[in-house]
Amino acid sequence: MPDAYHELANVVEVKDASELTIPRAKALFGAVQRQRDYSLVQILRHPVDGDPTLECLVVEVECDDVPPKNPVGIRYRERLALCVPNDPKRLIEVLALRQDFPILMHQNQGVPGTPASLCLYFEAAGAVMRTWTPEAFLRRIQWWLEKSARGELHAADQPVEHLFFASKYELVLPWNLTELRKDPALRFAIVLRHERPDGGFTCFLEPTAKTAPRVKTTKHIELALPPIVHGLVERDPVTLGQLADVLARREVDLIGPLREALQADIDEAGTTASADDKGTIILLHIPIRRSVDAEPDGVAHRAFLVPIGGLELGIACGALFVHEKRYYKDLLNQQPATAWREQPILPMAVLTQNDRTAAMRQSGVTEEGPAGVLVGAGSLGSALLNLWGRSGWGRWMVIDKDHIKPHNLSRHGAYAQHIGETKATVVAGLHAAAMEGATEIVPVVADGCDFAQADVAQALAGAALAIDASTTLEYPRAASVVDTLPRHFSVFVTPNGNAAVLLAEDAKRMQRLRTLEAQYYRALIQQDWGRVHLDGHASTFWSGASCRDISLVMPYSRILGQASTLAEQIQAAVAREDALIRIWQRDPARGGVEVHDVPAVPERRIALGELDLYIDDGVEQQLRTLRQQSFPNETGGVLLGYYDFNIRAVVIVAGLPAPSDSKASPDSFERGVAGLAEAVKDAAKRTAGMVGYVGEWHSHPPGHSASPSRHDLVQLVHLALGMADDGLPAVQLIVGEQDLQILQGAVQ
Amino acid sequence: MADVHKVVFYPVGNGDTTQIVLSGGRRVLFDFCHRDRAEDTDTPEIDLKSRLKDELKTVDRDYFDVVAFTHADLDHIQGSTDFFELQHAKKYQGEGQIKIRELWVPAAMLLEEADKDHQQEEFVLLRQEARHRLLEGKDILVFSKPKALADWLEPRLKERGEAASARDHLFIDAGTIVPGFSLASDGVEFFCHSPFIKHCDEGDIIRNRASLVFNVRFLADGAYYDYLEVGDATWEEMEDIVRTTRHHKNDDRLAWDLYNIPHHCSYLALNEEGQKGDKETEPKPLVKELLLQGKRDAYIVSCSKPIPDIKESYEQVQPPHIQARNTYERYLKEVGGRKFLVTMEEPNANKPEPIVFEIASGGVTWKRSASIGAPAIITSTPPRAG
Repeated sequence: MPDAYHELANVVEVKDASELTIPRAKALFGAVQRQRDYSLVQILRHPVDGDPTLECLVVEVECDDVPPKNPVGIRYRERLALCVPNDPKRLIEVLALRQDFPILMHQNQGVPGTPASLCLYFEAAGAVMRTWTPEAFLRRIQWWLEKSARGELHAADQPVEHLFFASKYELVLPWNLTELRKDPALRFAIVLRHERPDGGFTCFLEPTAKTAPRVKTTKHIELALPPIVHGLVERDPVTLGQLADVLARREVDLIGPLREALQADIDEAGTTASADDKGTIILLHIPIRRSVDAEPDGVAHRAFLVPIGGLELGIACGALFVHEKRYYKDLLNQQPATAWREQPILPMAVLTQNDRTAAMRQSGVTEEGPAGVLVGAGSLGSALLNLWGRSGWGRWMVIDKDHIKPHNLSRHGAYAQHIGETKATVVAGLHAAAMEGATEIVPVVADGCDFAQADVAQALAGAALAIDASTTLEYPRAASVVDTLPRHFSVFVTPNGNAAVLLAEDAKRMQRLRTLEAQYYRALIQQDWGRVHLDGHASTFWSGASCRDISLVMPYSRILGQASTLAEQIQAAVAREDALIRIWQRDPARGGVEVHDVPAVPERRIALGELDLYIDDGVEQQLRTLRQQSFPNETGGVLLGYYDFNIRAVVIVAGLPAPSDSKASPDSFERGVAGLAEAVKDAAKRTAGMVGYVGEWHSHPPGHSASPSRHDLVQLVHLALGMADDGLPAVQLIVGEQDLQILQGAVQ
Repeated sequence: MADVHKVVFYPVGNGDTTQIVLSGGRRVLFDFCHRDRAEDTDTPEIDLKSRLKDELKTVDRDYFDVVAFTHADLDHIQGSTDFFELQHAKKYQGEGQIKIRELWVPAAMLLEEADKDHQQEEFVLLRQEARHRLLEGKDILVFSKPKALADWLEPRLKERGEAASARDHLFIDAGTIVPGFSLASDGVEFFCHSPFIKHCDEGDIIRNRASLVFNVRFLADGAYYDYLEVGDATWEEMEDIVRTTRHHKNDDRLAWDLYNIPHHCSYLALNEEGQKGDKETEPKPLVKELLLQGKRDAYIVSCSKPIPDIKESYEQVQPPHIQARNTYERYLKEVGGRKFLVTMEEPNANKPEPIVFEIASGGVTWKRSASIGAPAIITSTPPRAG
C-alpha cells in the first residue's frame, strides 16, 4: 500500500526551478541536486497568487543510519517539505509529509491532522543563521531523523518541553508537591503573581489549610492520570474538546470535575464578573514509569490555560447561567452543553521549584556535605552560606550574636529592611527566601565562644564540622582547647581583602587551629609573600579586619571573590583527612592569584607553671638545623611567639638565627644584637603585631643533652628580671643532642 | 548489553576483503587483497595491511579467529602470505605476522595443479599451508570433500599411522552450518551454500566454480539478519545454489539484508556470455528469484572499482559492468531496499574508506563516514602545493 501524504494548503506548483525567487530556496535547490541522499519531488509556492512569501521544496531523503526496525517508526526514506520563507531572518520550516509520521518529542507545536514540523535546532534563529549553509542544513535534517529513530536526540531525563516550547504562561509548582498532596488538611490554590508587559504571566500552585478562608484565586482543576511509559509525548491539544478526548482515551473525565470547580464558591445569591478573572487552569499529574511493568518513578505535570474567565467558561460548559449580569449555578441543566468543546486552550510551561537534589545537580555538587556550624554571619560568613545554601551543600546552623547596622549593608547579603535584626536570623531568612523550605539554615543568636550556652553547645554537639568565620582570635583559640568539639576550619580575609586564608584541622583533630595559626605566622615571617600579606592593617589586624570597624575600607567584590574561592576549597578540604594551611594571595592590579601551601605539622604542649607552652615540630626542626650548622660551636638567638592568657598559653612561633655579632664557642654562646631589633620588628609587622619576643634559645654542643648549665640559669634570671618590666615571664629554650628543654623564669 | 555486530568492506579495487566483527569480539576475515601500490598514498586503494594491523592493535590482538579464502584468485589472496603467519614453514613466522586461528578454504585450493607458468607463488604457499594444517589435523576447515582430495589425503594418513577417517571432522559439506560459531554463543552462524562436491569431481577445477558462498545469519537482540557472502560465482552457480537450497527446503537461507554480489559486479553472475544487454543485463530466472529475496531496507555491496553511469562504462569488457549495476539497483528498489554501494566509491573515488555496516537491534545500518567537508580535508593529504 503506498504511503499517504499530507497535502499543503494554499500552494501552487512551480513547474521549473528557474522560477524560484527566494535566494535561500534557490541555494537549497542546488544543494538538493548535489546531495545524493535527497531527491526532489515537487516545488510549491505560497500564496497561490502574487509574490511568493514562501517557496517549498518537497523532497525525499534517505538516512542510512535509521535502523530498519526502529521503534519510533521513522523510515529510511521520508518525504519532507522544506518551506523557505522570504523573510531571511526566519528559519526554514521542515514538515514531515507522511501522514503516519510518528509524533516525536522534538516537534514544534502543531495542530493534529497537519504535518509534523521538526525542531532541528536547539538555538535561537539568529544563532542558527550565523553559520547556516544549505548543505549543512540538509545534513542536519538527516542527523535529526537518524538520532530520533535511535532515540538519541536527547538525554532521556532532560525536560525537553521546556527547551522547545516557549509559552508565555508559567505555572510554578512547590518543590515538595508530592508530599503536600498527601496531606489531607491542605488544599491548593493558584495564585497569579506576576503579569509581564507581553501579556505573559507566572502563577503559583500554593497549599493552604482547608480551614483557611477562601480568597479569590484563579480557578483550577487538577486531574491525576493513569501512569504512562516514559518516552513519546502526545501532541498538545488546542481546544478543550481535544483535551477532553485525549483524557477520555485514558478514562479520565475532564468536564465533570471542571464543572464542579467552576460552580464552587458560588452560592444561591450568585456572583458578578470580575476583571481579575482571567482564566481557568487545568493541571494534569501524570505518573511516569520506565517500562510497562515498572512502578512509576516520577510524576510529569502538564498544564493548560483556558484564557477566558471562569464564569464565562461556566456558561460554556453548562455549569452556570447568567441572569441580569449575575452568575448562578445551573443545577437543573441536564442537557450537556457543547459550546466548551471549541474553546481554545493554551499550553503552559510547568516549572518546579528547586529541592536539594535539583540545587545540587544544577551546581554540580555530588556530595551532600556535612552537618555544619558556621560561627560568624558577617560579610564572609553570609557569602559562604549563600553559596552553599543555593547549591544544596551541607546542613547548616549559624551562630552570631551581632545584628545588622546600616554600614554593614555595603558588605553583607542583608537588605535595608534587616537593619537591627540579628545577623544569624537574617542569613537564615535570606536562605529561606531562596529555597522556600526545601533546605533550611538554623540561626543561633549567641556568642560562639560561650560553650556553656545550651544552644551553642547543642549546635556544636550535633555537627561534624565547624567553620570559624568570626574574624576573631577568641573563637578558634577557645575551640582548640575543647576536646569534645567537632573538626574545625578557620577562614578569614586579610584587611585589604587581597588574601584569603584557610586553616583546616585534620579529621582527628591532632593539629588544631591554635597550632595552625602559629604555623601560619611562621610562614608570614619566613616566606617572601608574607611581607605584604597583611598590609593594610590598622595597628591591630584582628579587630581591624572585622566589619565591626566602621572605618574599614574594602570593596564587597573582594569579599565575594575570596568567599567563592573559600566555598569551593572548604568543600575539597572536608573531603580529605589531613590538616591544611592554604593562602590565596591576589594581585589586585591584574586579578591574578597565587596559592601558598604551608605544610602543617603537629605541636606539643609543655606545662610551664601556670601556663601551657605550645611548640610545633617545625620550630624544633629549624632550631636543630641551626644547631648543626654551627658545630662544633654552640649557637642561639631570640624566640618569637605570643601569649594568650584567656587560654593560659604561650605559643612559640619561631626562633631567629644568631645575630652576626654573637660570640660562640664549643661550650658557650653569647647572643649579639646586630639587626635583631629590626628582625623582631619585621616579624611583628608581618603578623600585624601578633608575634613578638618571648625569650631566648641556644644549643648545646654535639653529644650533650639540653640540661641547663649554671650559666644557663644565670641567663634565665637575667631574662626574667627584664621581662618582669612587661609583667611577663621569660622563656628559655635549650636544644641538646636528642632533647629539648624549656625553662620559665618569672619574678615572684 | 545490546548486540552490535559489524560487517566491513575494504576498498581494494576490483578485489575482495571483508571482515565480520562480532559483538563478542571474534573476527572473521573473508579474502585478502593487498595491492602493493596501495602503500603509496596517491592511490585510492586502501593500504590493507596497515589498516588491518591498526584495527587489531586497537583491540590488542595479533590474530583473526577465522580467515576464509573463498578461492585462490589473485584478487582474493594477494599479499596474504607475507601478512599472515604460515604454520608450515619457519620463514613465514615471526614478529608482526598475523595469526590465523582457523583457516577456511574450499577443497579446490588444496588440489589444484597449475602449470609452472601460471602457478602463482602465493597460491602455492596457501595450498601448502592448507595441506599442512589438514595433515596436522587442526586450525583448518575444508569445504567439500571431493574424491581427488580423499585420494591425496588417505595415503598420507596411512603413513602417519592414522585412520582414513581421521580428518573427516575438518570437512564441511554444503547445506550445513559451519561448526565453531552459533547463534546462541556468538550471535552468528555460517550456512555453507557452496562449493558443491560435484564441481571438483567433474574434472577441470575452475576456481570460481568452487568458491565459498555463505549465508551468514546474525542474531541481534532477538532478531535475525542475513548476509549473503559470495566470493566469485557465475550465473550458473548462483542458479545451482537457488535450486539446491530450494530442493532442501532451506529457502530462508536465500533471503538477504546485505548482499556482497559476485565477481566485482560482473554481468556474468546474472546471465551468460554475450547477454550483457544495452542498459541492463536481464537476469536468468533463478538469479532473478534470488534478487527478489532481498528484504526491505537491504543493501547491496559491489567490491569493485567505481561504476559511474557514463557512456564509457557501457562499453567496458572487464567488470564492473554498469548494466549489472542497473539490474541490481532495479531489483533492490523493487524489494524496498536501500542503497547499492561500491567499495571504491565511498565516500569518494579519490580516497575511499571502508564501508561499515552495523547489525544491531534495529537491523542493518550503514555507518557512513563522518568525513564530509572540512573534517575530510583534515584527515587526508591535499595535493602538493607549488
